[in-house]
Amino acid sequence: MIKRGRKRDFYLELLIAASIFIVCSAFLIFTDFFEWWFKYTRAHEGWELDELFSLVFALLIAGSVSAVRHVLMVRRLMKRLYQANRDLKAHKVERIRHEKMIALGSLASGLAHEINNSMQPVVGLGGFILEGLKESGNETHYEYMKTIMNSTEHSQGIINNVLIFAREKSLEYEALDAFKILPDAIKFSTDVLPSSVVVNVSFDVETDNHEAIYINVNRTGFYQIFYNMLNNASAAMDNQGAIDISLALDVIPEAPHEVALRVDIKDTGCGIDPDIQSKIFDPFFSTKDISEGTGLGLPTVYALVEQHGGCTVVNSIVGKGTVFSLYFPIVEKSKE
Amino acid sequence: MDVDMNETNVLLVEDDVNVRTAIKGMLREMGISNIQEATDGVKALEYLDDHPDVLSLIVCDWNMPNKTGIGLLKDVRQAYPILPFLMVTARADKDSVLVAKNADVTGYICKPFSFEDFRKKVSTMLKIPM
Repeated sequence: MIKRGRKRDFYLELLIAASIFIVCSAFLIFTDFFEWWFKYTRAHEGWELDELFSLVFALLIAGSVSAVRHVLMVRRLMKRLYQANRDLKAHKVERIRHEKMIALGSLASGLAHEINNSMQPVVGLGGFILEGLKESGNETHYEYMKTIMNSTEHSQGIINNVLIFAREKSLEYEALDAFKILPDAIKFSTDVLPSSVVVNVSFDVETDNHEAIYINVNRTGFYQIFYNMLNNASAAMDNQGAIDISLALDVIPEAPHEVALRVDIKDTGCGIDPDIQSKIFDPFFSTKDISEGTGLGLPTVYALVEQHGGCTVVNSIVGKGTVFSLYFPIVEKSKE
Repeated sequence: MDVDMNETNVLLVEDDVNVRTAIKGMLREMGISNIQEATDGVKALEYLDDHPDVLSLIVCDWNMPNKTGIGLLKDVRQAYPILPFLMVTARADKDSVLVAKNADVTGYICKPFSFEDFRKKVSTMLKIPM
């Protein structure tokens, strides 16, 4: 797209240069013709040759300036048109994704409700059986029951994520200083990464001596965002390499009037194939082995960031890596 | 103030038989044996009409056929403004909690809940010392 744009600019500049050349050549030809006309007719009586030349020359200059201005104006308009077209395409993709999320969310919410209801007997009564087996001294059956309870707990975790994705889980928010909550959330997630993965954090916000920046945060949700993101980045690099986290003040892409804190998480992994980029936030879509991921990591991040009032943007180059940009709107301390 | 469990009457309204059995089991573990069961809001109201002023607590699901838990709560509140009413539901969203609060629910617990959470909730509502 960028290359095509540059080529178009080159041709436009060539056209302007050619136009000026034609105008100058036409002027020279015209002066010859004018001299001839001046000598052989009497229409110029009362005018000096210089005066007539000056008049014609002024008219031609004015015409040329006007033409150049118009060409430049058309060029500006074309630029704006291309930009509007690009924005429209991006919005269309985002709208389709949003509608898809709503439909999937509705399905996921219905399923999660039914499963949560059905799990009540296991969660509610399982503890009694576990207790009874422990007291009876039946070690084997106690271990079996413990496995059942652990598995139930794991399922509950998955359903909780589904409910978060479906925006059915209510979250409480508080305005917290990003410089305090972010290092905590990153440390919490970094601790569980393999030692072969290095996380570089560079806080580079252009504020007055790192003055506090408040964002509305649900602590658990915020920790989960970074836990999922860093695990995802690590897996994309086969658990080997560096993840760079940087901050910047920006505006939310879809709401340019809203100032946000942008957190960029960059990995040097395998990158995301353009064909599947539109699916990475779909629930249960995963490129990992079935035992390694539930396909709920990125959808949960997407939903959680959205519930924090922000958005998630992905830029990826296959073979080079991926940058996930998470936008969190900045709020006043008192506004929660 | 000690609560006599033998005089504690609970109406359990739940359409799913397995969930009903599970909640009944938890109530029994707490020492409550007078448990009446209803499978929907309409049957619960019928029981209330036939046995006025005997209940200590209603434990009720939200999504049920005929009459939902919230519909039952609204009807119950007209005749029994202070009767403890515990909503047990898989609805964990803020809007649902607000709807129940506005209908004057006494307690709200999201499924699936552990025995410990349920015991704490019921004990608080019935003022049973833990």
